Amino acid sequence: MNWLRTFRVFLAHGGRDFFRHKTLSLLNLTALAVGVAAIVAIQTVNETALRSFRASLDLVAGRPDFTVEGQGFRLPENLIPILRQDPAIRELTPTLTLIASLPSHPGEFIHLIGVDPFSNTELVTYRLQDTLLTPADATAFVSEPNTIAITRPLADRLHLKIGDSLRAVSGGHQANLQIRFLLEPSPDLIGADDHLAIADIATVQSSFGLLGQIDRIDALLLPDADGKITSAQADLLTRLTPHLPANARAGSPERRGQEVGKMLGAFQLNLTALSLIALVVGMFLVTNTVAANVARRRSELGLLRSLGLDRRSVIFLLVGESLLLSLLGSTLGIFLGLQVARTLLHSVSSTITSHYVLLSMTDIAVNPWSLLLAGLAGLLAAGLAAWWPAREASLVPPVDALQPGNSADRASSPHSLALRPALLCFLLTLIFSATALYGRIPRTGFLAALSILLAAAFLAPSLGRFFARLPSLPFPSAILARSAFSRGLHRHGLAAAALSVAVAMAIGVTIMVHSFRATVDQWIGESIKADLFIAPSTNLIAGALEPLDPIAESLALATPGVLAVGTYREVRLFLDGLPAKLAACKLDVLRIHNPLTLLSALPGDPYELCQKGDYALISENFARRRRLQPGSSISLPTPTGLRSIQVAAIFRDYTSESGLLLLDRATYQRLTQDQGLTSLAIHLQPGISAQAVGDSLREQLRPRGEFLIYSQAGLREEALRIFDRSFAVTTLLRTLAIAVAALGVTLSLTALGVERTREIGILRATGASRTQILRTIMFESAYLGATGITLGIVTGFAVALILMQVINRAFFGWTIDWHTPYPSLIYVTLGMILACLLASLPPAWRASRLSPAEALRSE
Amino acid sequence: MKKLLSILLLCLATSGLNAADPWTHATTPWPWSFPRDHGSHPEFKTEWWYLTGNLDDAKGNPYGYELTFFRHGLQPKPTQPDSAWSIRDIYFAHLAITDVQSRRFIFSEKISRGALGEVEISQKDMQVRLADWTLQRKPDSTLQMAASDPVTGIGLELSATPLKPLTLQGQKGLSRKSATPGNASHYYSFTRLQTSGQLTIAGKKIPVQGLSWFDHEFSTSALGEDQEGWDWFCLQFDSGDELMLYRMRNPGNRTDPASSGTWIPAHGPSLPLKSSDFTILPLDEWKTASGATYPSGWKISIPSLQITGEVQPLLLDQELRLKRTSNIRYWEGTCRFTGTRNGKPLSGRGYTELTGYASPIGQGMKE
Repeated sequence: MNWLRTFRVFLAHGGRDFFRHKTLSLLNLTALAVGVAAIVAIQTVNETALRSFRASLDLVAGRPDFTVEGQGFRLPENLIPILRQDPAIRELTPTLTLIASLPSHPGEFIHLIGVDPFSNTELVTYRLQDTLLTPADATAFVSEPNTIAITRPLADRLHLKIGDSLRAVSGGHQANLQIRFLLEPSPDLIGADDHLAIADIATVQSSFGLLGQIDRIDALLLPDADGKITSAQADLLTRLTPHLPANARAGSPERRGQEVGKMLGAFQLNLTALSLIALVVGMFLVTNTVAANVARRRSELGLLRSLGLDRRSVIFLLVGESLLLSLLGSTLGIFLGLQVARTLLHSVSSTITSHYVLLSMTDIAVNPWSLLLAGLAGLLAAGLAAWWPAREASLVPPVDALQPGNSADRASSPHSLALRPALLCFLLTLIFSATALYGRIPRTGFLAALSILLAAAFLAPSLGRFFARLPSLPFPSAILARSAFSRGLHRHGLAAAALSVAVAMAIGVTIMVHSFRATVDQWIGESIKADLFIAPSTNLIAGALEPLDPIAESLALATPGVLAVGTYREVRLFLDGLPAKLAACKLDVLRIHNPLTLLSALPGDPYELCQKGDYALISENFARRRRLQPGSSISLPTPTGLRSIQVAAIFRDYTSESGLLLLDRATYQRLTQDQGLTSLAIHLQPGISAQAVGDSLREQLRPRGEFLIYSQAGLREEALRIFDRSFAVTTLLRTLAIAVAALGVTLSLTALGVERTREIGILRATGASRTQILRTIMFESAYLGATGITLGIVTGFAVALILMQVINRAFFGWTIDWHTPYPSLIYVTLGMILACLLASLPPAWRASRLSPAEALRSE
Repeated sequence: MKKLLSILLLCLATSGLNAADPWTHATTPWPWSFPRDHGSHPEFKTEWWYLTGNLDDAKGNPYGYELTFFRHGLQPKPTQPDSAWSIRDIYFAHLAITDVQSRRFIFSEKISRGALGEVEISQKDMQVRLADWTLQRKPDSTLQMAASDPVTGIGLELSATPLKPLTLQGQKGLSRKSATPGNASHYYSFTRLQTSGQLTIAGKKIPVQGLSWFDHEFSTSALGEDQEGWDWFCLQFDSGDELMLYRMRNPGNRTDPASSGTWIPAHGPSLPLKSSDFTILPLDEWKTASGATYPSGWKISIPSLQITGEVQPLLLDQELRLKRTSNIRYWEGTCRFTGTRNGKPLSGRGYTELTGYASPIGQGMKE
């Protein structure tokens, strides 16, 4: 094979075809662009999330060699002298972090970090600047009381400047902080949370009632003789462990990043998997187009072959063309994807904040490598997709190719064979589901979903043939369409496969989200029983990290008409390497006024057990992911030591992705020494107006800061709003899948229209009217739509089953009751049919407009 | 006279001077009482314990060292007294070693707010500790010091025994720095301490012995507002005499009339020197990598004592480029004196301190 010559042929032919069939090429390009865009968008959002988190962490802690961190609860500061004495540590610095709301700027908060500017000089990556942009030194920072540095974006947003004072409220403590510096992150920390604010550790301790407490200690170590610190880290950990409280976690700071990665892993994997499906659908489309392309250019390829182009060059030519097109498509997709990422940023950052870690992303972090990778994925997909039809084209003898007639449509692959791969895929679905559920390899759940989609794709031509065998409507155009569809199955089969994959995706996700929402809705109805709820105003934006002013509880108890006040406290921690939420309630109030839906329990009254001893109620997903039963015990690291807690009962809960371990308030306070509150649930006496009590509480609390006070209905609404926001990305990806599928139908029909120009010419010449041609093409598209959609709906149910019973169970462990969203399904189906019809219109119209003479020119 | 910290003072406390200043100022001679006055004087804003010395190893190779502890008061009453991190004073310490033979000058610094026992300074005697850097006066009056920095590989463990009683500088220990009353410090020195122990350079321990000089100084506002810096010399002559001289530099490199010195003869009482008693003329210059120019080498003459001679640094680059103390830079280095007294040869070793050349006074601190 002469590469150079092939390349010249490629140059001469490749572009020509693109311009000859602009619409086709553009559709193809768009389809691929959407596929790549989905990947780019999800990758970018995921990366932005991790980078933003790391940047925020690095901003205050720099890049230490060793970190001791209190999880769930703070650490005593008297750990510091112990660490100072260790010979391996050359520098160490403490930090103390809290979330404080800003009453004079409703809805805003600061993520305040208390630092010691004298010991952190080697670690910090920020600079403090005053009005003259001169860097501040530690002395200037601590010389005036209550000095605070905030980020420039926050200052601009709140119209604050140096010299202004800022009232901050957290956990019932207030401080009048003085803005004296602006916090400038070093250039490599773009993406750090702009709510970050820095104050002296003494200010934070003393203004917010946190004397003697710190959150973490970051240390720099002395390297060993070989200049490495890994052995120093390990030795230090061994030496320190006996001195550390049970809730302290010590080690290399990379671990922290890894944990956040792990924590967000399931969430991000979900999104990534969905975005990959969009690419898979795009791949089908490319295959389809190239196949159409091959058929159309059969005689041209035959000519080239007879002129001496060998088989490999034909493949090279066709794959090359497809790659060229996909290069454009991928580039377009990258730009599109970045735009989509921008629009998704807010909902993703809110979701991550409410479920995992405080995160506030303002702009996307673009990683050129990921973009390159996504672009390459697009290219690879296009190359692979083109390879198969290209290979087939190369196998056709030049003589056959040059022979006029409809031989182009001769089915090249026996469809009956497609049943075997379909069966294999179905088997794989079962195997992967089993490994995901029982083999503790959750990721294989996605392979199960992919397998079932592939099974559907393989089945598409067979189902199409089945439809084509059914008696058709007694119209000439329908009969014509049926035979055309049957003959065009080699191409229609692919389009139907793409369509079914997209429909299955859309239906599967729709059923899953609907069922989940219905389940949660029902659960909310059962479990939100109180009449009023009070929480700090930052709860919505900063994820329940700011403690509630304890005065709220006594105020609520003293308010006339109040029957009972339930308390809720929640902290996030890692248990056995998995993220979890530890919560505490007044179980006596809960039991009477708001009983949990218990799924299984130890004999006796589980509430009583919890009130009397070291027992806990655990949520269903907590139990599933850790394989716990009533009676199992859990090691809970608390500031008072490692406590063994027994499971009294398992209850249904949808508030926490990571799972909930619920203790009675008294037990919790005894074990953790934490008197904090997260929110209150107020039960009123019958006949008392929640509105009036809410207003009165709001009035009494006003001077203490900003609070969220919800009515029962308000909280239910809010809970559902958070749910919907969590699924915003999923819903968007579903829409993308439908859009790609609709494109596929258009593409397929346009291709067929072009391909059958001659046939249409004959029909027209033998007396078919324009309307009849139009109708024929539309009927043909109806066959295509029916095949794809029917298969898609059936597969969609299977996908939903896999999403709910395999992926959800393996990753999250929630119970989702099946709720078929009939109206949505009907909408989706009708929408897809409409999309098929609309998609068939332009090619049908074009075909009907063909002049017979021109169409028959080739004869 | 070491008043690096008065740089801070000047800038941070200028406002404090007008209103009711909560700090005590050095206006009249201090009622000295030892060992109490070896300890800390927290009612003054700034205080330091300053050791420099010229030492030799067994082969006679010369070394210089500097070990200094500073206390700088931010506010007499801390703002958050309930927190362990509450700040009243900040503390820092500088360690520098000059290895003349291999032409190395290595320095290290520490800074701390003194929280949770990181700093201990007694008010009863010279017991100073910042992290693991210590300076202690033993019951036999020996000063014991230890400091090391594994990162730069330098360290020292020395004990220094005074060979002479302490010298009160200036007027009964009241050392004026400018014409303004109160711009002065309380200042005494041990001008000759027999020193032995070991230095650590690049992790290698080197047994050494030689002579040290010790200053202890406390003040609240020492510098005049327009003063640019100072040149300070301490010289220990082979004859058993010592000389301390400082020249406060006013704008235009003019010598402030408040500049002064002390002649400590081998035997007998010390003799205060006024600025009109001596001249210090720079002989050469040394340019730093950052572009600053230090004088290097001086001709010193004290006509009243019939002393004349040259002070030459043993190494050009003995500049401390400090990062943690707001990028302050000063030159503090070992030097040699050769000259005559009464026509007879006079030689000795000493230390020179030059401030305000590379970092203007209060750079990064002016508000």
